[in-house]
Amino acid sequence: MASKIVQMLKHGMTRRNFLQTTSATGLAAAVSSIPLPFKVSAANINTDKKPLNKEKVVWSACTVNCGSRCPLLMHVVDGEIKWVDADNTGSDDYSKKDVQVRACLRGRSMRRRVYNPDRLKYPMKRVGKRGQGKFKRISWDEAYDEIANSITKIRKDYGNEAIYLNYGTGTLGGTVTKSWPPGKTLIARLMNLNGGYLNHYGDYSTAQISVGLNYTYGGWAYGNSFSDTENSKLIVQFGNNPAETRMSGGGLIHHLRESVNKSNVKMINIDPRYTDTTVGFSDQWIPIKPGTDAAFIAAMAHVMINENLVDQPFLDKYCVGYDDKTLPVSAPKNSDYKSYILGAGKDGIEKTPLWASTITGIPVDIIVKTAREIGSTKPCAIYQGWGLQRTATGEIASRAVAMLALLTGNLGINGGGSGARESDYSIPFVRFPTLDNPIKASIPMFLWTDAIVRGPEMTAIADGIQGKDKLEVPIKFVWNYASNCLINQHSDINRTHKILQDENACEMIVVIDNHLTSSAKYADIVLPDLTTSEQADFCMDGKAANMPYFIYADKVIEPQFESRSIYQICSDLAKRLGVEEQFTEGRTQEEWLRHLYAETRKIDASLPDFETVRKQGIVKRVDPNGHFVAYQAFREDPIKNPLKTASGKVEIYSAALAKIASEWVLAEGDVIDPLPIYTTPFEGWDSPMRKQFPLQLTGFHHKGRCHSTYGNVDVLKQAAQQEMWINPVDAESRGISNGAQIRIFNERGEVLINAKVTPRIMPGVVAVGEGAWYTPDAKGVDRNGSMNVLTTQRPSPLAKGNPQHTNLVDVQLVTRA
Amino acid sequence: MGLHEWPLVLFTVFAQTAVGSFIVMSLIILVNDVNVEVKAQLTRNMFFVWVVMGLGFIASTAHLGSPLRAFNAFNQVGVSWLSNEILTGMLFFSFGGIFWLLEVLNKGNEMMRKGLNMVALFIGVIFMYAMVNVYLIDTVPTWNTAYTSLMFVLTVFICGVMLAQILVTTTRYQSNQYQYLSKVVVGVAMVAAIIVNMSQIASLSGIQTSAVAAVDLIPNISSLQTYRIILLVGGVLVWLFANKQGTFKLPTAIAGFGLVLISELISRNVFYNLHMTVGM
Amino acid sequence: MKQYGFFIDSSKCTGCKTCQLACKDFKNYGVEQNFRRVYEYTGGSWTEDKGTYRQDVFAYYTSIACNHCDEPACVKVCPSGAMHKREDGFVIVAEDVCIGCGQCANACPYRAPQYNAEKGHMTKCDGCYERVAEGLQPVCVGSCPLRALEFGPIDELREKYGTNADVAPLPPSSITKPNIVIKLNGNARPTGDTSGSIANPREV
Repeated sequence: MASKIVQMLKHGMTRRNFLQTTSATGLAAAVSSIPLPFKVSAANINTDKKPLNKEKVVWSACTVNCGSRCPLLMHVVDGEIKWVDADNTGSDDYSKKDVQVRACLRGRSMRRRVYNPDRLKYPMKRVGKRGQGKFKRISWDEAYDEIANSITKIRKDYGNEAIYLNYGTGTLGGTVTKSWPPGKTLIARLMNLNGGYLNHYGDYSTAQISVGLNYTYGGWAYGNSFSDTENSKLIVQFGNNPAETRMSGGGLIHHLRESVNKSNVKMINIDPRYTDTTVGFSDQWIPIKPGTDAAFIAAMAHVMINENLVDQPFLDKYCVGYDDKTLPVSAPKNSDYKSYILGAGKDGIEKTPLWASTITGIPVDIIVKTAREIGSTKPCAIYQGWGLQRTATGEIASRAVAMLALLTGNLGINGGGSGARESDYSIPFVRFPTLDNPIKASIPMFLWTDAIVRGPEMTAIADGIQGKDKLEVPIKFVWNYASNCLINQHSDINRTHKILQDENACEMIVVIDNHLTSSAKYADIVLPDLTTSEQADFCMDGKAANMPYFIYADKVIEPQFESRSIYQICSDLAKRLGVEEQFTEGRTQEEWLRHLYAETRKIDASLPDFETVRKQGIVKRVDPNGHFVAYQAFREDPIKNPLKTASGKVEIYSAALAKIASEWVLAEGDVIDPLPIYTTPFEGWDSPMRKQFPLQLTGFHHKGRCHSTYGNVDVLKQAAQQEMWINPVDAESRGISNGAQIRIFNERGEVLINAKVTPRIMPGVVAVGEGAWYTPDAKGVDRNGSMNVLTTQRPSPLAKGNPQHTNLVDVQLVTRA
Repeated sequence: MGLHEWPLVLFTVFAQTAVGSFIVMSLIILVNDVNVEVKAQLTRNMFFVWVVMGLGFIASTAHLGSPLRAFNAFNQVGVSWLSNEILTGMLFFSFGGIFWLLEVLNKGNEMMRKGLNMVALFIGVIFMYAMVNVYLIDTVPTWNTAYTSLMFVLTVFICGVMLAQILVTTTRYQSNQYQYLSKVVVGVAMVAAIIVNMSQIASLSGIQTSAVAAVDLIPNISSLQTYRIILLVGGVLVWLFANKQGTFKLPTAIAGFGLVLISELISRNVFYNLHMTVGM
Repeated sequence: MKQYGFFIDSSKCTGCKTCQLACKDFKNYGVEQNFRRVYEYTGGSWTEDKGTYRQDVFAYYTSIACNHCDEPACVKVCPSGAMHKREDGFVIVAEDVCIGCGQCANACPYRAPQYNAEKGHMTKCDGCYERVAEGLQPVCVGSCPLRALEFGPIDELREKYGTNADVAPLPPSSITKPNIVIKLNGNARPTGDTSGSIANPREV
């Protein structure tokens, strides 16, 4: 400081050169700490910035489970990322199909993940109890020894069926770094060289719909591309919210926006919540009680049938089971869909709008009007998101949505749809080969905690075990790579916590992650992984309608602390387990990238070469067929292009489901039916439990996070607050005002959170954004709004999936706003 | 109600008190042909006026994020009322302070001292005018009213005249006229302040934007107003009692003034907490 | 003087806040400064009739930073002149001069000037004028996934999109003459409307 004063006096400062020196040499600090006898005015301040230090710009990517995949332009100075830009190449002209893949608020905040204080620095071994988060630092060698020894021991004592790869989607789309599907990860390759592992099927995103619509359309059900809505005359969405679930600027929300602008089409959003999609496409919102969509649809079917709005020729030619004309021989009399709707079926109830109105909360006139609109507007695009299916009756409800497309003959045509979620065109790309799994047993992904506690009791007909009639052994070893499903994203956190406390049940949990997540706290061994910015990989699988792309995410900065890449971790473990050569095939990570890309270019020679792609960062393509239309070939010729169902046609009545319904052992209240009927779930709107827990709790995707990823970034937490949405009517009776701290509770646990009192949610329903990091206090009460404290581990009937949007709770004021 | 604007609450109330009491005391000196002894006593007691003004300025620097750059505040004289206020405040302090010093040290000729006194008086009034205008911002509907001007001016009268009276009455200066006038001014100003305050609070129901309603800004504004009025009236009564015929009880008078000052500080704090804009 | 401005398309805006965070990352600020803010304006009510519900709920988002007004309220009150309007129309605060008195924040009805406790003076959106000088867009504009923000000479924007700069919860544009053009959301309510409220006060 003194030297700065001397310097100042020495130069005989005039005001002008004083200021210039200030900005050039950083005397500003000295200036602001010296009381000035002279003043400084803005006119003399040189506000033009001096040229920046040498700055590098490197392509990277955001690889989270958001349904998109965005390139990130990292601005690096002195080996540190200074700021994050998004794709700024090209003309961004949608009509020319040259779209910038702009990252959302999360991708733009990637820097704060890479440099987050939660960053795992070195391998650790648990010293306290599971969940306490108490660890001691160990060396990589020690960590590898622990893991290898555990694998060897458990293989010997129980066999490989006791080793489980937990579902985790923290890192998606890479060829080397992907953490999902589990069977396509490097962990799978490692285990496949060591006897295999217990498989799982289904996922937390689509468990119920993937099974439900499989019985309607055969296999994974496709929907029309969002870009095809430029051909629609009406769009109807059930629980589909691309503004908050497909947020990329090169992803579906942009495609939907541009396509709707073109067709100027009306959009109806059916959802208990007035989502941001409804905000951005502000046409009509039909609020509906969670779990009752099938009743709404049945009543609309009733209107369409009575007013002759159904496409009978379509139903006759393409579908099985609409009426007795196409009912299979095996089916009993009056078990067709039309009989069900008109009251001639086995329940004898006519599915009138009046019947549906008290179930759904939708007034009769709106049911009738909507039915007429859907029935008389063609082509009508029917979509559902994955919220409707993530419920206790999700399989059957997802099949019901398809009925609207089928009754009106909108399947397989431009501007129409199948009722499934939208599909996209993708670029074929050769991925890392993960070899074959010698173990054939597969559990529903949602029942992994059951498999720890009662594995050998689980059977095919009671628990959905596939590949075998029953499990032989419980799960003893859990790989948890890039996953917060160990505790945070799996239901009934308190139950999982109890199960994981028993170290004799599940003996070893290995967590590989970037941050000390709530799940990482339950690990026995924690390994620090590299972030996307610290290694090179191809990144893709972003849903982008008819304009797919893939990214070369280069290495932006050096690995932080002692983190190692998943490839290195698995290679090192492979060496420990004596299969190094088979695992690496003699290649480094980069050599694998080059190899896989060379294989990809064999499929498509028009792709640029490796070095070009590396420099370019992103390679964009266009669907040569224009728009993806689901089941277009089937619609054109159902004989030549049959569906993958048993009959080859669309199965409204599914004989396969009838068979399962007769053979499976179901929990009380669970229903499996060959038709897409309305059935009331456990903990539904009409459950007697509502006397004690009167509010239906549903979840939604929180825009400040991608599930739980980014959940530890302070600026995102401030910009998008974690709050429970509650209608003013319900809030007032509880003395809750906007911003008050409240407790949400049911028999499974208690959560503290702030209230967002808003008319944007139905009365009787409350909603919480999923993914907030579980943060229990000493009494086990979560203080961070972690929804899965309140959800149940009871699975859905058919897919044995996660009914995370079917919950009953009550809410109480804790602290006034 | 938040207390985060305490620097400006103190600054404005103290400045208004100082200006008001200076005007009274310097007018007495100017207008009357007081004898040397009385003048010396008045001058001696005027010290407290400058203490109050000084405390106000010190408090105001706590309001700045970069107090060491405070002199930059003079850059926009003629353009920004805040700049004007700071300049005129400084000039008032300077001229008035130099005048006072000359009186205390008995230096300088009569003409010069009188001249300085008059300049300080004049600048003091401009200082008050500027202070009001700082808050007449067209984007702040709860400040941009006649109530602001009235309340600020009434503080000058109530606190200024009261403090001056205490400082004057403890000298040998005798004037029944002056004593009577002081009481009348304070009494009238007190009643006016109560009427103005209550009207202003009533007027809040007419100020509402999409973002906020003025009536919601301070949830307990009614009880705060009640305390303010009780303290104001009580303080004035205590002060009047201290001035009951015959003896002047200094401690009681100071207590009365203290209550009134607290009442003014509460009222000023309410004023700052009523900030809102025509937008967000 | 060439005046730049923003076009804000509330009919497209889904309130994703990418603009808010992109600016924050580029300017390297934490939770205290929000130069660009996305306001949610929501209203409407529910009636129940025999177990069914009717509602007239509305909601829309408005993304606002600094509007680099023609008659900036902040410049008028600034005692140090730190807050000033440049030749290119941007209103910026000379951070070397500002004394941190906060009067600009008192005056601005758009909440643009924001006090930075660490620095001890005011900070605000500067229109990314350095990027603009290089022919680039402000960071927020190029970041929007919905392409709901545009930027350029204000007369060009007005020719393209009209002159509307009013919507709830913004103040009447006649007061400070902000250099923005707003395309209204289908649910938009006029300036001064009180049937709704700012629903996300802790996020802005």
